[in-house]
Amino acid sequence: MCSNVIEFTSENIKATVAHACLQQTTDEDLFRKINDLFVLAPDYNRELLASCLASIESRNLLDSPGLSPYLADGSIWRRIDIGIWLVARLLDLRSETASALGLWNSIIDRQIGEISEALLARARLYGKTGDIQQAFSDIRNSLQNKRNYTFLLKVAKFYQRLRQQAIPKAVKSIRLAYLSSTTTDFITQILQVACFREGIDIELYTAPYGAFRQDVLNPNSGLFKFKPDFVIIATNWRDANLPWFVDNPTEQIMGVVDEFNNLWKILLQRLPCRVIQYNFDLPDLDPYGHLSLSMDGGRLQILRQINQRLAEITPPSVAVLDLDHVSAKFGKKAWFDAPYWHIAKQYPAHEALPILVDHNVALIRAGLGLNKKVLVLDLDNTLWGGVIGEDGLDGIKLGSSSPEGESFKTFQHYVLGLKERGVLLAVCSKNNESDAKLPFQMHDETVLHLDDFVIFIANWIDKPTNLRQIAAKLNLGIDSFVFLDDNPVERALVRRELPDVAVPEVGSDPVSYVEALDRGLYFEALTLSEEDKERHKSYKANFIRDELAINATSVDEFLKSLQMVAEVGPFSEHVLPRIVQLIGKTNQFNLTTRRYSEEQVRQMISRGNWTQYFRLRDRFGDNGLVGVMIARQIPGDKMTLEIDTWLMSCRVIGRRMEEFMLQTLIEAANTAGVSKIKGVYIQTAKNLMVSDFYDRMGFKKIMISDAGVFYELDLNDHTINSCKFIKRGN
Amino acid sequence: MNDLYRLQFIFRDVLDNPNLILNETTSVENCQGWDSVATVQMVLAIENEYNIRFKTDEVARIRSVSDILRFLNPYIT
Repeated sequence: MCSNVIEFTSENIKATVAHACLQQTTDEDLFRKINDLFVLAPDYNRELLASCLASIESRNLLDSPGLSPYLADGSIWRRIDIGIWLVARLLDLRSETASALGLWNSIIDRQIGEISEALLARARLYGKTGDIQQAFSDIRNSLQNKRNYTFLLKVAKFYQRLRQQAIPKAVKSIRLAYLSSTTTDFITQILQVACFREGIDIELYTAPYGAFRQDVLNPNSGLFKFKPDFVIIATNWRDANLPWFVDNPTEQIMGVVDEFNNLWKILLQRLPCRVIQYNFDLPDLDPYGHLSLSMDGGRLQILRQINQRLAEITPPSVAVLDLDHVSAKFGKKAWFDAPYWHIAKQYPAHEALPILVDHNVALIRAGLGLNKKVLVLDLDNTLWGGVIGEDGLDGIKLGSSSPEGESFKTFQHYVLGLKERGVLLAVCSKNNESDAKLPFQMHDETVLHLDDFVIFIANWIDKPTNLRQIAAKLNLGIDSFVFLDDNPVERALVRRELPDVAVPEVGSDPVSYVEALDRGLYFEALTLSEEDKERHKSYKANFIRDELAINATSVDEFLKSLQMVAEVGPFSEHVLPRIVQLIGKTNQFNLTTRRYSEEQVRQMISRGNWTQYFRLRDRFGDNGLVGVMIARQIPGDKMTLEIDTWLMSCRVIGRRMEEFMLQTLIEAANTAGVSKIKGVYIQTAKNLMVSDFYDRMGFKKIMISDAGVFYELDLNDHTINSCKFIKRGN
Repeated sequence: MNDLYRLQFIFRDVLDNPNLILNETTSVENCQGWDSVATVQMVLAIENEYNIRFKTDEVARIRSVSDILRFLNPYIT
C-alpha cells in the first residue's frame, strides 16, 4: 500500500495518506518510512508532524534505540524543516531538556514553521527549568501576531499555571471585574493573556453566573469586596430583552437606557473605577426582515436607538465598547454561533473572542494612558511604491495610475486621518534627505506633505538608533511608538532592539497596510480634546539632520543574527538580464553610474574582464542578485586592476556587503598576482552616499579631476579584513 | 488511525498537562481538570484540528474519550 505514497510530491502530499501509510508500517520500518516522507515533503506541515509524533508515541517507540540516530547531532532530520520540528518535539517528550532547548532556539532564530508554537514550546521548557521570566517573555512574543482562539486558549492555560509561580513583570497591574449574563470562562482566560501581551497584569473577578445586576445593586456583593479598577459590563442583544416587535418603543428604549445608566451611577458612587459597557449587537436573524428596521417598534430599529442613546449619555468614566460594530467587523454569520450558545451559553462564537478581547484591551490601555501616540513611517514601498532614490519622482507608484499606486494613496489618506485626530507622524527612512522629501513636495498625487510630519529622518543609520533619537527629541516614551515598515528585516531589528515599540506585521502588499494598522487598535482613546487635534502643531516641524551615533555593538549583533550567506560568481547568461537591469537603474550605491547594454556587458566578459555578481540570502529569505562588480586589467600593466563598475541594490544597504565584495575582489587580485587596485568615484545627483566610500574602505586618494576622484589600493601593504557577517556559499 | 494520540496532544494543551497519557477509558469522572468548560474547549480544538463540526447533540453527550472517538469516526472515514 505504501508504494502509493511515492506518487505524491511535496506539493500534493496529503497528511491523511501519510497517516494511513505510517499506520500500516511495521515498528522496524517506521523511522525509515518517516524519513522517506520527509524527503518527499520536507516543508513544515502541522498535520504531518502530528501524525509522525502520534505514530511514534502510540507504539511506545520514544526510547527505542532505532530512533537515536535520527535525533543525533547532524542527523538528516535536523537538516529538514519538518524534521527539526519532530526532533525537537521528541526530545521534549524524552525530557532531554538541554538538547531540546538548543533546537527550539535554532527553529526560532531561523523562523522555521509556526513560530508562535515554537515560542510556546520553548516557554514550556523554561517553565520546567524554573526560568519563569524567560518563559513569560516567550509567551508574550508568541502572542504578538497570533489571534486564533484555540492557540490563545492553549497559551492561557499555561500562563495561568506560570502565574501561580511568579507574577510577570508588568507596566501596570489592575483589578478587573467582568460582569456578564453569559458564560465568562472562555473570554476571561484569553482577556488575561491579551492584557499580559500589552504589559498589563490583571487580577480577575467574575460575577456569579447570570447575576451581574444583583452584584452591582448589592453593596455587600463580591464585586465591591473585590474593589476593581475596571468593570466590564459585557452585555449583548439578549440583555435588552426585547420582543420581535415592540408596541411602546419610547418606553422600551428609556427602560433599557435608564437601567444601565442607573448601574453606572451606583458603580461610580461606590468605587473609583472605570466602566467599559458593551452596547447591543444587532442580531443576524429576524422574522420581520427589513421591516425590523423600517417599522417603528421593529427590534433592529429599537436596538439602534438604544445604542445611539447610550453613546450620548455616557459619563467620562464610562466607555462604550461598540459591540455591534465589532460583530460586523468579525462577520455576523460566524459571530452568532448557535450550537455553543445552546451547549455552553457561550456568546459570541469562540472564534470571535480574540477580536472582542482586543477591543477590550484597547479601551483598557486607553484608560490607563498606555495608548500609542506616535506613528513612525518608512517611505519607499511604505508610503509609495518603488524607491525614490532609484526610480525618481516619475518612477514611483503613487496615485491613480496603477492599482498599487492607488493603494499607497489610500494608505496615505488613512495616515492623514490619524494625524488630524492627534497622532504624531514621523518619518524614518534609509534615503538621502533631498530624495526622500521630493514626493511630498512635488508629487501630484501625494496626500501627505512635509508639514504633516513632526520629525523627518532620512539617513543611512540603523532604525533603532533613529527611533531612540525621535523619542528623545519629542520627549515621549518609546513605548508610545508604532513603527510601520514594509521590510521584514527592519521590522525584526526594531522588534529585537526595542521590544516596547509596536511593530505591525504589515505583509508585503500595500493594499493590506491600512488594515494591519487599524486592526492593531494602537491609537484608541476614550476622549478627544481640541489639544489632541492641535498637538501636531505644538511640535514645530523639526527636521533632524544631526549625525546620530551608532550603537555598534547591537547592530553587529543583529547583523550576525541575520545569518547572511552570499553566493558569488562570474557573469553568466542566466544572470545577465538581472545584472543589466541593475547596471541600468542603480543610482545610489553606484560608484561610476556607467550604463551598459546587454551586448556591451557580453563584450566585456569576452574580453576577459573580471566580473562578479553577488546574491545575498538571510534568515528572512533570498534578497536575490543585489551586487555587481566589473574590473579590468590595464593594457600593458599586469600588476594593476581597475574597478570599472561597483554597485549594490539599495535593498541591502547597511548589511556590510560592500566589505564582502571588496574582500572577494582582493582575493581574486591576489590569485591573479595583481598588486594594485584602482577605483574612481564619479559624482552624480544621486550617489552622494558613496562619495567617501573608497576613503572608508582604505583606498588612497591620488587625483581629483572633472572626470572623477581617483583612488588606489596597494595590496602589498593592505591586510584583508574579512567580513564578519557574511559567509560565502554557493 | 492514531486518533487517540492526536487527541492526547489536544488534551495535554487544554488541560495544560504535558505528560497526560490518554486511553479510551479516560472520562470526566477520572480525569483531573476535565469539566464542562474543558469539554467545550477540547471539542473546539478537535473541530479545529480535524476541520469538522460536531452536531450539538453529540457535544452535549461527550463524557469520555471513547465517546469522542465514536462521534469522530463518521467524520473522518
